[in-house]
Amino acid sequence: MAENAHTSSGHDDGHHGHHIIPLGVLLKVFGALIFLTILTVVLGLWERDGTIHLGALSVPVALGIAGVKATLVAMFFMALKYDTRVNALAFSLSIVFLVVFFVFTFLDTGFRDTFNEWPDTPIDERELQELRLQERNEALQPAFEAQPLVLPGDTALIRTP
Amino acid sequence: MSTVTTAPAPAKTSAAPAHPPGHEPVHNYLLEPGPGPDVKGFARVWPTVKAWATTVDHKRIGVMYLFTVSVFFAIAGCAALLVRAELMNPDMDFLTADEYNRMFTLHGVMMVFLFIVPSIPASLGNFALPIMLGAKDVAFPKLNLMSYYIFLAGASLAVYAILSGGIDTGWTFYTPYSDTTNTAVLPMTMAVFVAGFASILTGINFIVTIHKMRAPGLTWNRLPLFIWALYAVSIVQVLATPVIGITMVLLAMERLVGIGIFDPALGGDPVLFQHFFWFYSHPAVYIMILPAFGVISELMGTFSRQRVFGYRAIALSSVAIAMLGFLVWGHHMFVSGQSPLSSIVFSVITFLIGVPSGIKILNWVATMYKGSVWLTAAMLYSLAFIFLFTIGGLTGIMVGALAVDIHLHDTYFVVAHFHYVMMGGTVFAMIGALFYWWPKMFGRMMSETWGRISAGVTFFGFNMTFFTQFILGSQGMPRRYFTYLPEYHDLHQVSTVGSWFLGLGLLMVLFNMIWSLFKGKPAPGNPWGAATLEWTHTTSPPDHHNFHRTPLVTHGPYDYDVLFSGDGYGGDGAGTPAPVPNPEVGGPQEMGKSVDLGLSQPKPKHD
Ligand code: HEM
Ligand SMILES: [Cu+2]
Repeated sequence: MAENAHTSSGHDDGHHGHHIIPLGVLLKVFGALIFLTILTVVLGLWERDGTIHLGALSVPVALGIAGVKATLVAMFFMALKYDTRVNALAFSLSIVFLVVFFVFTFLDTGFRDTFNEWPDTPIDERELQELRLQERNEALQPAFEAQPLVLPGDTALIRTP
Repeated sequence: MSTVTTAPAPAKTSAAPAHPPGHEPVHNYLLEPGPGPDVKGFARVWPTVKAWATTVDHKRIGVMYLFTVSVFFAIAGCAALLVRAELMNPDMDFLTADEYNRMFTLHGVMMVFLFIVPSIPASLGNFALPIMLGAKDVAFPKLNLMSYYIFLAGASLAVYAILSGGIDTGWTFYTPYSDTTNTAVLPMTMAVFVAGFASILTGINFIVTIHKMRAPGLTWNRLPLFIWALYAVSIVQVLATPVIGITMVLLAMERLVGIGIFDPALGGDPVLFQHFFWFYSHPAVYIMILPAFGVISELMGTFSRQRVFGYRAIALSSVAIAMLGFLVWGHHMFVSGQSPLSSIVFSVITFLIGVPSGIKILNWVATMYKGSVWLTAAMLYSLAFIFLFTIGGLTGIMVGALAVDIHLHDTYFVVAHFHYVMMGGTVFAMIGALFYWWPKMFGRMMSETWGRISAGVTFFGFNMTFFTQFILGSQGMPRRYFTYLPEYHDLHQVSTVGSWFLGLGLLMVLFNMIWSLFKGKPAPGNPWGAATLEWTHTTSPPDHHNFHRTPLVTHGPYDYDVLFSGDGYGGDGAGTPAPVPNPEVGGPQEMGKSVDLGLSQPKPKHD
């Protein structure tokens, strides 16, 4: 917190200049990013030609890899790892909100049409109707007895080679 | 005056406060920087305009925001009066069905994106937040000015959209209709997109200012509740606003180049638009209401002369609302065809969010309990707020109940619900806040008598306009139609007449403000005897740079007893008592004399 309201320009407190990240670390991170990119592509290709079968996991795996990459970029290239914790908190909070958005939206799109609409007639009436229907079907049953497919009169119409 | 003078406390009789030479409070921010007193007549105009247009003073930016949002409030308000007038009779009176659709869309879009979202935070927040923190300005003053110009740019786009034919989708821009209508969807969505950036910049500015620029001694537990509310709002603004920006861009892309996001023919999903839209817009309703909560906390404390009951609970419930507010957007989509599972989940979480709102109401009422309630105009508006917001919130719970909402969705019941929270809540709180901070902003008192009368008229007119709509809605009157069945005629007429009373009350407020600028009594530094820094440590109006010395905060924001007795700790480590602030001195006009404004404020107990 600023000691007094008159200091307005930055570089006064809690900020100890820029941390210089060693080149080696940057290169390693770069390597990891390239590897993960290749992994994504290869997984995609394998999945397409059927070498592996991820099924429902396909999207989560892809998102997971992308998430790891984004984390690496934020931590090292954006230097969040060496910054105050608050910044990291703010960053992860925004990720959390993205996840919330996705999860709740999938809660909709993943479960559409799982709702049986009930008619507004009371259940006892519906059961009664069902009973009647059954009785009627049974009464009609004889009329639907199996009949020969070709009646004698039709034979004339069918030419047999 | 400053309570950190190391000199012995000035005796109450010598009213002239010990300002450092050259820092007497005649450096009124409204006049300086600007043309000197020697420049007269029209020669003043250009230098004044230039000084204001390029200012980075948070107070001036706040005033400019206040003016701008008031203009939009007036335009959108007139549109509302037209809509209501058309509904006086079921037949087509003077608006065709098409014009009616454009009119209510104009009303909705303007009220939401150009008035209510920036209303309290950008105007009163900008003005008061740095002073309440004991800072000279916000953390990024230039960004602050930039946000104002971005807002103007967005607003201009909106005006252009209206002039180029208007838009008839309603403020929600739902697909698939917004994909196909040939009205000005593109400019209007771009307007929303651009105005969003202003909101984000303000949010970032406030967050950093609150974290970094508090005066010594101003711990989180001593932050005024208005600041806590603005903090919560800023978080929501920064997290949610980008989503509406993306949504608007996707909609524009869909219209322009037909990418298939929302159009099922292209593999899209129209309901997805509603997810996008409400992921912003439900949190946005908290952008609208949370600052109002903050205002009410201030007013309840000051005008009850009591520490705000449950300070911690109010502060943290703001944050809880800000977070929970992100998890309920689906309650706007119960009949959209979203999956029943998500409807159930959203309905349950919606019920949860009533809890923090209820906590606040309870605490405000408890603050008044056994306090010396001072019924100023500002206090009357905040009492109206409590009454109206309670109705608005409870009907929110009603429409949040899944089964009930199937009946009530898209009826006037919903219209009444959100007007009770947005107008009865935010607008009433904002008017109360204006009565409260007006003396600080402009150094003049508004008329109390007319303020109280206007509070009565707006309250009456508001309920007449909107309570009828609850009844209409529950009887099945759908929203967004220019006509209706004969059985709704009577209530619609009552509602329309009510809107005239409401308009009259608001006009009274407007005239009161304009009148006070010219004829109002000069305001003392602390006319209400409040205990936050903007009242105890600055003049009315404040200096260009707010404080002569950085204040040292030794007590909470609502410790009114300390204000009058000293807290026994002067901040010099030697245990000398803090100087007793004299709430009546400070206005440039009153230097050296104490003023009795006849605003009978109860004397502190120990006298
Ligand atoms: C106790 C808290 C609240 C609850 C539980 C709640 C609940 C709801 C629900 C369920 C709806 C959807 C109704 C429907 O369309 O069928 C709704 C609509 C709405 N609410 Fe609230 N609400 C609350 C507070 C607020 C506040 C504080 C505001 C604004 C300041 C607000 C503004 C709106 C708006 C603008 C709509 C209508 C949007 C539209 O369809 O145009 N609500 N509310
Ligand atoms: Cu909502």
